[in-house]
Amino acid sequence: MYIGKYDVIVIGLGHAGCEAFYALSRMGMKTLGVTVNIDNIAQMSCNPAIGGLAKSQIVFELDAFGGVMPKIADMTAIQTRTLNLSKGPAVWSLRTQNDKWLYKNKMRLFLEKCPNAEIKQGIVEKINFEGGRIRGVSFHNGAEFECGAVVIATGTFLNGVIHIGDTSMPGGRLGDIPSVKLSECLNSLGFRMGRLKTGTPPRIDRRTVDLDALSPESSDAARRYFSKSSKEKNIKNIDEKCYLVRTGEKTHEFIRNNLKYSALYSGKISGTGPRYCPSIEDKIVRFKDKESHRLFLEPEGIDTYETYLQGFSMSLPEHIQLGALRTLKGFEKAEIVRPAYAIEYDYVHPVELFGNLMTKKIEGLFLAGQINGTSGYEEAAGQGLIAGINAALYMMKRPPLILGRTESYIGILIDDLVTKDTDEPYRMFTSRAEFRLNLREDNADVRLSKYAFDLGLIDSSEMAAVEEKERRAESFAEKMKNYFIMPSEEFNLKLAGYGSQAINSRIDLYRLLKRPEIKINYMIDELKKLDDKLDETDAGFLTYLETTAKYDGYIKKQNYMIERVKKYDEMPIPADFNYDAVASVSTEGKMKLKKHAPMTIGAAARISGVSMSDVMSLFMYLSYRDRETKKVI
Amino acid sequence: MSEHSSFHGEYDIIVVGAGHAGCEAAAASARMGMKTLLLTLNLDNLALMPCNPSIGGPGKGHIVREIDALGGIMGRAIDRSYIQIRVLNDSRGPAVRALRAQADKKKYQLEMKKLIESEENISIKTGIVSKLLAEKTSGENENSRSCPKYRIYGVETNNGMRYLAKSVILCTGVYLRSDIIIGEIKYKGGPHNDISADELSLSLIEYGFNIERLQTATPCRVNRATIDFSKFKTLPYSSSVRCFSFESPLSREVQDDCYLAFSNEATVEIIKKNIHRSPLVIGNITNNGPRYCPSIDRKVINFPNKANHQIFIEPEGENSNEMYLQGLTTSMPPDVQQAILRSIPGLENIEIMRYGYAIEYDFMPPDQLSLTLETKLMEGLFCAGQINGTSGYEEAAGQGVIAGMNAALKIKKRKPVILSRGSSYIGVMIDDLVTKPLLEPYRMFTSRAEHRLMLSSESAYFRLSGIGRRAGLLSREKYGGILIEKRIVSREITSLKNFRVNPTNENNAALDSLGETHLKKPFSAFEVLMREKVSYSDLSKFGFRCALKKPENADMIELIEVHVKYSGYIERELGQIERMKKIEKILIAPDFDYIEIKGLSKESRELLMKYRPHNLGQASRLQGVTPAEISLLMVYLSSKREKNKCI
Repeated sequence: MYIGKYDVIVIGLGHAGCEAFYALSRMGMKTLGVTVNIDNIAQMSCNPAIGGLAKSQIVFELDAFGGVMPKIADMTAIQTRTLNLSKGPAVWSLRTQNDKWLYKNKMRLFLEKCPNAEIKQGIVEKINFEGGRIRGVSFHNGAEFECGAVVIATGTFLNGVIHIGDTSMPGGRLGDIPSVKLSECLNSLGFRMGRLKTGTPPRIDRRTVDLDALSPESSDAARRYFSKSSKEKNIKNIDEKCYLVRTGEKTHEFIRNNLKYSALYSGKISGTGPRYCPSIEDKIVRFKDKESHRLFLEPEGIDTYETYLQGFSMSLPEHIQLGALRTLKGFEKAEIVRPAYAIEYDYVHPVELFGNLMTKKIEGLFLAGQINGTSGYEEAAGQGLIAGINAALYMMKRPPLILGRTESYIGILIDDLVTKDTDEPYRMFTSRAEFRLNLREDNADVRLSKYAFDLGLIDSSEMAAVEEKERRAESFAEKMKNYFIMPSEEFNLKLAGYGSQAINSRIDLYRLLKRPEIKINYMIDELKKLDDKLDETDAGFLTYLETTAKYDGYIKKQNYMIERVKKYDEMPIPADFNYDAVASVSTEGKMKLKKHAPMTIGAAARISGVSMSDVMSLFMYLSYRDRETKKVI
Repeated sequence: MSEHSSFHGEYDIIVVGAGHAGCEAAAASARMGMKTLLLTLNLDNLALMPCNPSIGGPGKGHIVREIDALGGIMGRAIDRSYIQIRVLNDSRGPAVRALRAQADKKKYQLEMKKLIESEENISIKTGIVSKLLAEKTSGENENSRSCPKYRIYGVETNNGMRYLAKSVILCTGVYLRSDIIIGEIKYKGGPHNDISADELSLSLIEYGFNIERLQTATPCRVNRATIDFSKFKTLPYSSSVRCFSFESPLSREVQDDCYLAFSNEATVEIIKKNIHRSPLVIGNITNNGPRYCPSIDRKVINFPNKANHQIFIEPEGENSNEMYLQGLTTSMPPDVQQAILRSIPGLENIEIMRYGYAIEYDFMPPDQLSLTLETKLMEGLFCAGQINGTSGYEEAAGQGVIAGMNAALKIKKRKPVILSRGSSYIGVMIDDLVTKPLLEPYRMFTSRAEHRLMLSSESAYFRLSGIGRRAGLLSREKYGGILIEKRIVSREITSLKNFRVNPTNENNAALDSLGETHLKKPFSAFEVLMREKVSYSDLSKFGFRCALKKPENADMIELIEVHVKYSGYIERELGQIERMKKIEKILIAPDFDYIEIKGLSKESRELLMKYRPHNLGQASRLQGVTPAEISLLMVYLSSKREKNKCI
């Protein structure tokens, strides 16, 4: 008996589900979000951080769509750092440490206030059909609700099993019950499913660690935000310290000696784990020669002494975890508050999906997040947004939104998933993007706001602001190109101060800014002459102006390269080709290429784990070699 | 016990479960200098309020003050997290007047976690205890079934972690082998889809403990945005009253309102029509549920002609849209829950966020405990909270503080704290638990206390702070503050006795204005205050200089008024309490041989052997033991008092 009717039901309110829920509500869909426990909406089950390399770009892209993760992450940040800060704004990646408790509570409140939308606690066990179409869902407690479309975002809860040494128990997260029946339902619908594994490190009682033995890390001096809306919110800057920890031979030996107790190495776990976030057992086995691995001790919140030991995930028995922990310098008396564990869960092979994240088998059924084989809060959120948008578009009978690889990391993420499939947890890296220089934090809004506006996710004033930013940057560029500086001793002295070469003839501002060592802040006075309304505190705009100037040439070149690669889809690769000879192919790429031995460039590009930049390197190497060969002949 | 090397930590006291009993027990243990381990199956749920979003009320509020007087922490946590405070029963006399606070559930958890984490001596760990580690006691008294058979020395978790301890306190709440029941559906799990703890019960059974089942239930939570509040009455609240904790400032302004709604005939019709779908009728649930907190289906079965049942709509906190519907507890299927709610004007469009459910769980009938909350069977094992068959956050916390204190005192080889019925609600509760058969979850009511006039909420500090201080739980500073108040009160009472009110025209005019009769001869201010319609502050009209005027002094004024107005009763009660104290001083050894005494009826002997009362006072309260038999016991015990051992 159905007791409520919705347009779309979102199953699971983790990081994917939250974005889907928000997008659906904002697009006017009557939405129901279902969660196993309302108290755990947006729970950060693993690391207490948002952003980082490639991931931050996704968060900025979410903000272009008005998404929730950037807002909540800004509100609850307790340390803010920009990675790659020395390498120039094009590759900047914002990363925040977040207060987990605040994060989930703020998110919950935010979702509860979304219009047209309801949240209910329940475990969905079945999706019901009528005449081949989705009719609704059934809860574990007998409640049933009608709907036109479903977004499944169950994370690790789908048939989850937790492993700690030789102890295993069903669980979606330590302390939470899993969702078992829904997995059976998906199986019976004929989806190709697999098993993945991930792990989380122990949480440590900070009072028991000798922090003086570790090197602290603090926030950057200048605060940056993921969301444009955060600047006006007067968010308090908090700076909780993180600490760098290094493993040594003592730890490695201890773990090596106890490997047989690891759930991972005793053969108990069948699921494939994340290559990029290996357990400490894996690191020690796979990188035998490495003398030390870096770990980070990160705060889980401002009101707690619980800390997260990044890099120390494992599935060893708890007492061995404790033993291993105490071999670390500064951790001789450390106590574990929550043990590390591995979790195995079901996923659906993402080749079952269209680019809009709808399943090919069942119309109106969308999947997002870890159920698609990804890993990471940001990757989940990116998919959640797209699944939510497309579920709404499906209900409105409008064409789907599929973001291109050239315009967003979210586009790359989904394209990789649905075309290459994955058999291990997929994580985003900048190397997966062929248009890396174009996919920056500072231009995410310029790239994506037009879609957000069309969908009704941002309003016209927000859209106008983005257009204004773009227009102003263009007009600035023009003006800069016509603003010349004459060579002078004084000016050359200034340049020398920046470590920049002297000029002999006049140079326009734009060309000057293209110099890598010249920062836009150096020419604020000149820019003000071009436009007296320029706000020098508007870091977002200045960064955008700077990166556009610096990289427009590269970007054009990149576009050209991609076109060529596409044309050479059929370019053959010799069967005995030595991949090790191509230095610029990633280690993972080489492994995968050797394993699959693709016959053409096109086939190589479609292997999961081989990034587009790997393919480009390979393509360049092959065409160069061919040319050389021809010359010899 | 031979393989001590294979232990992963050594503690004085291990507390199993970090709910309201566990937090209090761990805090007490730690503050008394014990190295304490607090184990929980999910650290995010520390001090979770899985049912009502409130603390206090008649009986319960008294307990919170008593906990605070002993040096416990519940009062402080709620004072930092309430969204409004109300004084209940204001018109019904000082004895039953009680504080009740609406809590921000999430804030409460956070504040409690901060308090627990600030205790240097507490280590928190995530772990599910699967086994108690105990050794047989060294067989002196093999034949007696009364002395403990085992001595505890640690626990083992489901991850194979083994921890040593001198004492263990079980505060497992409803998590032992719990089942959730909704309509005909029943599945394993704790509150809000938490996991349950399944192995510990088996370990207890293996040692020979008796385990039985109880059930309780919770109403649904609804979305605030779907309620039409204009249909309901807003409930009053009180500001500028003293909060739960002695250290807290006066209460803040209200941050959120509560509302009162009523069910109607349509509601009752829906329930009647669907009653066959209630677990009560289906029979897939034990009958041992709380009668005083019946589900709406139970109310309709018991009172089929009553339609207007009260429903209180209470916010769950500032960080949530959820509202709690007190009075609408039900474990009927979701569609019926929805129909019931939507039959009430103002809730026509209601959306349920969490459905109500019943939960059935293991408990250890408390006749297996002594008054110290230590089990009789296993030395060093203490139990507190719902595992003892109680219900309510405050009841749990009250037991937690006592179990924590006694576990620590035992390790220090000091005398345990046994609170008498005349000293406190906590004393009444524990005495009831270990002395009377328990058929349903035990909840505190003021009516359970025979000396309730002595147990007013305001007097908690004077009654118990000395005990808390002597045990080393209550801080010196706080105790000092309490002593100052105590001195002020007694000085003021002396002043009242010494101040003369003469039968002057002015004084009689003042009495007229108060609606009292004229004085015919001089009286002391004390005697004038004994009159019904005269309040302490009125005494200024007779020239008495009231030392207490500020709102902060309200509690002390209250104490003075109670002391004066009820002085006759109080003396009588004090007499009774003294008499009871006398026979409570006559201890009965745990291995006392009742067969030796001729003249006990078979039933009484069995009862005495089952409960093994700690003292003659407790024996006198066993249902079925006659006063004549108590006299017989008294004579016998007085003659052989030196034989008391095992204490």
